[in-house]
Amino acid sequence: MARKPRSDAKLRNLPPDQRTALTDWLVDEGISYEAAKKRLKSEFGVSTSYGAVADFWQKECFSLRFRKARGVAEEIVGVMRESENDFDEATLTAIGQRAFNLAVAKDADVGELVNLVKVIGESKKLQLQSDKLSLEKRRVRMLEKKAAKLDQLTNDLDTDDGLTPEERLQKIREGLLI
Amino acid sequence: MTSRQFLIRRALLKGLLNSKPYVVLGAHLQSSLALDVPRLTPTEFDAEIAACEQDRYILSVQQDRGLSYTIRVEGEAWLLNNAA
Repeated sequence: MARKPRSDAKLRNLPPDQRTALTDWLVDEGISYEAAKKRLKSEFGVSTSYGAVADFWQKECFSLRFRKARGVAEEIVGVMRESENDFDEATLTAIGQRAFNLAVAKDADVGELVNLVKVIGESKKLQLQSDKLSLEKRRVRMLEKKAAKLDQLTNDLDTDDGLTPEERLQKIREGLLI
Repeated sequence: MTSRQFLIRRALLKGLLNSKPYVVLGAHLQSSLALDVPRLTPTEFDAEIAACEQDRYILSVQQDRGLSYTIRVEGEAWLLNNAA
């Protein structure tokens, strides 16, 4: 049988803003009890125990797992939306709902979902690198073309003795403006 | 409405509000509510779901994995009026 919480429980009686902050740290940021304990001390000057933070999570935050699951689903949909693949809204909604169901399941491994997001993110990074490589290749091709033209110009100038100094200068200028 | 029914309704609507815009499977909703409401029985859960549907606070959707629920505007208004 669940016991009624003590009316003097420190964390349950925090001012609303501090209580909200603690909930956000635990639910949204997913920090550890130990980290939450240290943060409470450093930011609000509240000394508490590991057990009290764990108790707060169990009684106050666990129902907020829906909020956390929603955050995970939104993150996944956000990454998919920005990916190269042109997903339509219906697909994104279905993916979001499936991700939400997975994240909210009692025995779900949220870490797996986060890994999925990371994989999607990595593929996006790879796509960017590939785009960058294509640009670099294009730049090299243009430089090679320019170098070939300059070689041709040098050859022409070396073999053509009938040019006046002005004409040679003009040709060099044109060559440099390829 | 008894204070226990009130407690169950508030926990139920709060959970659905935190999930919006996603729908929540009945089983997930029930297991989560059980953590908020001591000794919640399946009968109490079913009764509250039925009452909330009747009052148009929630909407049920049939999904491949079973009935799922989402909160309606009327449910959000009830929560606002009955905030903890």
